[in-house]
This record gives sequence, C-alpha cells and structure tokens, in this order.
Amino acid sequence: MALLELTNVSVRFSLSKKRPDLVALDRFSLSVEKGELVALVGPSGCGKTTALNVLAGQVTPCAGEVRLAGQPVKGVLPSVGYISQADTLLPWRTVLDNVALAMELRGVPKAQRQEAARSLMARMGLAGFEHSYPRELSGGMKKRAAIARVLAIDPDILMMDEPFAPLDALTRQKLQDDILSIWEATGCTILYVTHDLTEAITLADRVVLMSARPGRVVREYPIDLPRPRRVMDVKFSPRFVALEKTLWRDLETQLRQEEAL
Amino acid sequence: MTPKKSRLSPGVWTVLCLLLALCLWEWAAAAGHVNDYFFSRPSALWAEFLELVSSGLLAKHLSVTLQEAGLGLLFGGLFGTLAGLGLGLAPRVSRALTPLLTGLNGLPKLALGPVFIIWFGLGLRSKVIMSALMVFFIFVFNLYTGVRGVDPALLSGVRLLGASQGQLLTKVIWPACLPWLLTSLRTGLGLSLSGAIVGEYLGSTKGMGWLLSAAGDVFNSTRVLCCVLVLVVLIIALDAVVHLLEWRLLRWRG
Repeated sequence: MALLELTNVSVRFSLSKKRPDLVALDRFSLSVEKGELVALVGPSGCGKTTALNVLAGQVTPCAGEVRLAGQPVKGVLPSVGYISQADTLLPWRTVLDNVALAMELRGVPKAQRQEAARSLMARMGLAGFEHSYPRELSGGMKKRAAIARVLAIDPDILMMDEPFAPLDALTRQKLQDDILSIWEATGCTILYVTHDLTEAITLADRVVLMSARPGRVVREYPIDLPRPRRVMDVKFSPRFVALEKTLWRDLETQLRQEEAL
Repeated sequence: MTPKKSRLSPGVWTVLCLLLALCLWEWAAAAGHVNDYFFSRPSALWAEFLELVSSGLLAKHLSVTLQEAGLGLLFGGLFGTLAGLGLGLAPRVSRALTPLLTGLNGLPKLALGPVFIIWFGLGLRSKVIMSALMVFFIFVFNLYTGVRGVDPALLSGVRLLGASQGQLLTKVIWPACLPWLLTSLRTGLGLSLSGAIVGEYLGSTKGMGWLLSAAGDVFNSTRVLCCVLVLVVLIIALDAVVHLLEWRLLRWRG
C-alpha cells in the first residue's frame, strides 16, 4: 500500500460570484511510496502547490480521495513537515527559539527543546547563531533554520514547495545536497514541488510532470541515477543530460498546448 | 565615516534649546519687553515650583491626576486592545461595527465632559472614564490594523507546524501586534493625561486640572505656567519610559 495516495482529486477555487470557478486540479491522481523522493514539476500555475496543499490537509478537495497510509486525510497532519518558498521564521524570535517552536507547540519542556534545537542547528551548520534574529541571517541560513525547525518534529513526510527558488545558484546547490543527506539519513518520504527541471532530476527518484491548468499528471519519469547522489556528481553525467532533454521536450509540448488554447 | 561636526546627542540639544528659550524669556521680562504679570518669568516659575513642592500641593494634586490618567490608560488600553484584537479576528463583526466606532471616535470627547460629570459625579470616576475614552479608540484602531497586517505566510507556516488556534494567537498574532500596542501606549500617555486634566477642569475639587483652573481664575499666570511645565516634563519622562520598553521588547527589529 502506498503511503500517500491521491485519487481523482479535483479542486476549484471560487474567485468571485461573476466569474466561473478556477479549476486548479482536475482528476489528479498520484501515489507516493514510503521513503520515496518524488518531484512534482510543471508550468507555473499548473496546480503543483495546490496538489501539495491537498496532501498537507490545507486545501479540501471538492472531489476525490486523499489517503495517508490508507486513512482518509482530514486537516493538518502532525507527521508532515512543510517548507514553503516564503520565509516563515518568526522575526521576533531568536533562531534557537524558532527551531524549538514546533516542540514548544507540542509542550516539550524548555530545557529539552532547547537542547534538541541546539543539536539540530549544529547539524544544519547554524551553530553560533542560536541567539541571532532571523533578519541577521542570509537567505540560505534562514532556509536552513526553516528546515531545522521542521526536522524538530521528526517528520515522516517532508513537503517542500519550491523551497529554494529565491536563492542564488550556489546556495541552492548546497541546500539540495543538504536535502539529499537528510533524506538518506532519516529515510523520510519527500514530496518536492519545483519548476526547476534540473533540481527535480537531481533530487528525485521519480519526476511527475503536470499539465497546464487544470493540473493533471501528464507523465511520470523514473530517475535511475545512482544513489547516494551529490549534486556535482550527477549534474554532468550523460544519463542526467538525456533525462533532462526528455523532460524539457515534454514540458515544451505542454507549454505549446497551453498557448494553443 | 561618521561626520565629526555634531558630537552632542539629540537629548543635549533638546536641553540647550529649552535653556536658550528660558534665557530669552527671562531677559525679555527683565528688560520690560513682556509684561511678567501676564507672562511670568522663569525665575518666578522656579520659585513657584519650589513653593508648590515644599507646600506639598504639587504632590497632592499630581498624584490625583496621575491616578486618574493611569487608571484611564489602563482601562482604555485594556478594553481597546481586547476590542481591537476581537475585531481583527472577526472581520464580519468588524465590518458591522467599524462605522459605528469611527463615528464615536469622531465625536469631540471633551464636549462630553459636562455630561460625564452629571452621570459619574465630581470624583475619580468621571475623570477615569473621560481619560479611558480618549485612549480607547487609539488602541482599537491600532490593534485592529496590527491583527489584519499579520503576514499570512507566518500564520500558515506555524499552523502547519501543528499550532492550534489559541497557539496562533499567542505565538504569532500577539507578538506581531506588540509594536502596535507600544505605539498606542505612546500616543495614549499624553491623551490619558489630557482626558484627566480636562475632566478636572470641568468640575472637581482636586488634581492638576483643578490647580490650573483655580490659579487661572485669580490671574496667577506663574502658577498656571508652572503647572503646564511640570506636565510637559512629566510627559517627556513617561514617553522616555515607553521608548525604553520599545527598545527592550522590539530588539528583533534592529
């Protein structure tokens, strides 16, 4: 049985009474196995984020089924860590208190959660910044703090919505390596939304290409690059280039179809 | 490189400006350019100040006013904060009530003074209510703006970490509103004092407003101006305290 399963999920947003509803997802189906790293790619506005939000229990679909380990999903899941593109560290808290936040919400005693937060920060290369405020960190460090904050709840599933989009290429590559190490070390399941095909191929076991709105799965591509991967090692391999070419071609077809409409 | 020209801190400049103005005043009175019966003079003010202090008059009346203004600020601030938070969290209710509040806020509250005296008597109560009413709306509108302005990304981020509605309120909304609360407090300080003093002015038996009005009635301009200066210095001092509080609580803003 798949860990996460979406079956024929449709999502509509009503923008105003006068205009027709926006169909974000149309009979969208996806299943993710435990421990898998799946990347969702597609043209912008295709409903990638909506699909992720449905899985995270943030958006209720108007049709279809969402199941986690066979159980229907209702509301926010406690075992899911969500990392978005936005900077969601609380600016009035020190980095340490931000990383400890999820544990604080669960009632973990102060000494214990600070201890855990400290070690998470060290693991993410943030030692020494415990008492800094978020505004004092660089974009990449903020992102690492956000990852540490989510790892604190020891998630079974990580959902990432274009997490590194606003960062520069070098920082992004470092963070991609971090994600790969975290995934290898914890064995968690990762769902990764991105519009960056290179990033998707680098990280994922399987890339799911979505159509332009309303979002549907066009095709899935198993990525058979060897593991453990490091970004620099895979990026220039012939297999990688071949995969990238295929994906680009299919994405282009998608975009052309969208324009034709 | 920082310019080396003005090494003096702004606070020193404030004092220097004040001293200069006082010197000019004293000189003008001594030279006969202004009539010190109407306009008094700094040396007379100082003598009056010492007199007010040694006779215990100042302590007696100032403590009354401070108590009224303090209670007014406390109640106005407390209810204003609760109302502002409540309206911010319930947009539908706020759409219904905001026009009403805006209308009430637009009323010249000082004009209601005589009615308050009739309703709540000459004592403490009418002044506290006057003072509370002056600051209430500041808190309501500021806190409302604060709640509405909370970054939705922060809210959804923390909600996804497993926060309950209550936790969102205490961990995200409240801290995000703190700057607005402190701004309201700064504005409210002066207004709560004005409310109390005007209330006393309209009808009372003690307090700075009464002292002012009694002195004014007998053309004792020295005492009037002395009281005014005391209030000015007091407001500056209280404002500095809130400033310190802001600096302590909002260090994260840098």
